[in-house]
Amino acid sequence: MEEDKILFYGGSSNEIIEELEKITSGNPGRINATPENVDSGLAKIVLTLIELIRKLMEKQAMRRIDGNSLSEDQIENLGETLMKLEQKMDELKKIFNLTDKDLNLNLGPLGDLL
Amino acid sequence: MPVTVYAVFYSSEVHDDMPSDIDLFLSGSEGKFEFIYANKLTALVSLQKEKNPVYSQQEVLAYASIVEKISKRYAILPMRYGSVVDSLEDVIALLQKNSESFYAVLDSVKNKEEYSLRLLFSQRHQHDTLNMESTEIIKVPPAILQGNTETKNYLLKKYQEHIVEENRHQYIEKIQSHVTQEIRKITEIFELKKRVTPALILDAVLLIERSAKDEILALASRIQSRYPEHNVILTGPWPPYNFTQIKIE
Amino acid sequence: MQDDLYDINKEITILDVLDRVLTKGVVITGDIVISVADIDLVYLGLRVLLSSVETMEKRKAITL
Repeated sequence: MEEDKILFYGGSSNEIIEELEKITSGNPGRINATPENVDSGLAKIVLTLIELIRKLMEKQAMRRIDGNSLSEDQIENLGETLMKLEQKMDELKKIFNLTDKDLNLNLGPLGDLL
Repeated sequence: MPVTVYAVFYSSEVHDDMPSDIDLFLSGSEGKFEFIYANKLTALVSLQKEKNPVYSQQEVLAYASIVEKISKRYAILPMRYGSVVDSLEDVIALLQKNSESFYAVLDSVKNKEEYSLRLLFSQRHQHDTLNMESTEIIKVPPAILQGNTETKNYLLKKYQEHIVEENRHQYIEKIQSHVTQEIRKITEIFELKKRVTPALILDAVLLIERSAKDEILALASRIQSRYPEHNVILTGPWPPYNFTQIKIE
Repeated sequence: MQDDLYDINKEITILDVLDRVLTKGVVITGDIVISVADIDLVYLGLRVLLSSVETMEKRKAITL
């Protein structure tokens, strides 16, 4: 580009560049599965969905706490279950060598899943 | 022979000057360019040796720069990178089949240019203020979470994260709605993009009259002085990349 | 200092350009092809119709 497109910016330019890189990195192209990466490829899709559901459950649980509609027993059960779910998830992530960042599908025009 | 399409515009604009100077104003750009006419439309194309575009940054930028050059000259609809069809006949068919939708979109972007207005959390602010405000609120946790057991402590931690997130959400929504009001003073044609990173407060694309550049500049600095703790970035003018929703048949 | 500023501006501009030209603008060709071991298998069409590459090729042959 021979022309400067930045008309205005406030703040630290390094911060800005860092953020813009994140915003603009969602570039839909090919999703390529090969014999070498097929395991982690499938695991990634499955774990992404599980993680999405887990986060939804967590969010709903917090809303129930906000609504103050849970009994002492329910709270104990809920807390234990969520805690174990998170631990299990961490184990699975380790097994398939995936990070939180991996568990976020880019849905093109719909943005990111998580 | 595969053909790359760069942009589509009204032929009437081209007739005003000489199409023969096409190579002149695209000089420095590699490739053999041609104008293809059909109905009232013209497409700027170039002939390719291979059908599959190369996904190198350099190639993409070269493509974008040609779109940019032509948009300085005419009111255009920019094509996405990778717009390659099989033959020149296909370009003509494309223009003929979709002429009505092309007219409609071209009319809607006439004399207008696109700008990007973004508001980002400055990293410092992000960590300090919001978290502090949230801790204030949760000094007294919900009664049900009091009692020092492992599960309750876990839930309490989650609950605190939840509150921080909720506050952050509200904070962002408040700024978004204010900035949106400000944008409406300049144009009704704008779009707020989905937030894809936590630091992004607002990511808007606007379509404004070519003559209104000063207004958008003033808007950016007004927003910056209203939110000195965050970073405002304004880029443009761009070809109307974000305002070309068109169904191709 | 001037040079630094120039580079940063250029970088921001390039990011914005890439974002636009790769994900925005008028689309006339296929959007996403999912391939396995370099063999194109699933084609995600313009109207987000999921079809196999084979069907797509056939359809193309008919319309031409």
